[in-house]
Amino acid sequence: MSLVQPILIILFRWIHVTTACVAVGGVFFLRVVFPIALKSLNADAAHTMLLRTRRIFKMVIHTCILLLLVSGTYNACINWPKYDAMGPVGHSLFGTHLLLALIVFGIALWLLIGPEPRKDHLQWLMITLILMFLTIAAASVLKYARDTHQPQPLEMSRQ
Amino acid sequence: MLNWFPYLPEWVQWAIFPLVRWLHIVCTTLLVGGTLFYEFVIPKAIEDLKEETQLAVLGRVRWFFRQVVIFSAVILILTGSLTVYHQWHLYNGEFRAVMPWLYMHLALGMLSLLVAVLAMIRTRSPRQPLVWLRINFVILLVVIFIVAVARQWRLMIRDTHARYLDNPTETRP
Repeated sequence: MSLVQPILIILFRWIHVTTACVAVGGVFFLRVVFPIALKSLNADAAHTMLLRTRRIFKMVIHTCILLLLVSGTYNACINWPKYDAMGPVGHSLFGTHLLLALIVFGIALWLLIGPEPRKDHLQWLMITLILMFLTIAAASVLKYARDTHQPQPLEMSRQ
Repeated sequence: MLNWFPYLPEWVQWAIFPLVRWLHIVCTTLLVGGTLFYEFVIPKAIEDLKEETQLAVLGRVRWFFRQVVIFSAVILILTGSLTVYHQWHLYNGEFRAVMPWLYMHLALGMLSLLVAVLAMIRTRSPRQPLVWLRINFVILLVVIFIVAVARQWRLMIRDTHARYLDNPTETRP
């Protein structure tokens, strides 16, 4: 294996993890911490601040989705033989992770459409946050199963 | 290759380690994403407000974010310790070359947690962005990079080992 591939693997893995951190932490901040800050403002100031934060958040989350899709596709291509070797467990866990991530992307993009937030955007943000935590849980179990799966030496597998 | 906890049934062992990993990642997301928002997004969002209003907003955010930082730091140390115990064999023996990366991850991780907690518990006006938290954000990204390098290196050693098990006549470099 040349040195380029390990460097790319590390780079894409780092991008995937840090981007996920920014996206999940951002949604947590917007749903849990931010409403507490808005309580100290009058209605007009709170609305203005919400719109400004939402605009910055939109730019952050769109970039995160792009980076997650690119790095996730690369990681999936690299790990695909391992999922094949793991059998149904590998593919079911990977499928769950991917499906949850796509649902999260869909909700996030839909929530950020238009200049004004939906009336029930806080509830949707909470749903997004829970789904994000579930996506991470699927990834954690998948990584654990992948790491603990021992590649069978040829001689052993022939016996 | 994994270090199991004594006296615990197998299904608990299988449940503990993904749970620990999940908690470790979730707390990292809260710390990294929270720091980014606290230091880079909120100040931009409030720059048009009056100064006393800005202080009120930052004060409330800081009060809540402090609890998040302390909670995340405690959980990260606990889950990190459990993971080190769990994967101890994966940093020793033929994997010994990866050990320095583990130490770097531990040292920089502890430094970033210390900086985050100290920056949040200090009693000072929150008006100015905290430079230390901005530096800490970069340190956190480096910590994540280091653990990605350690993991890849470990997997490369494991794959090389498996390849030589397949072809015992081949000489190792």
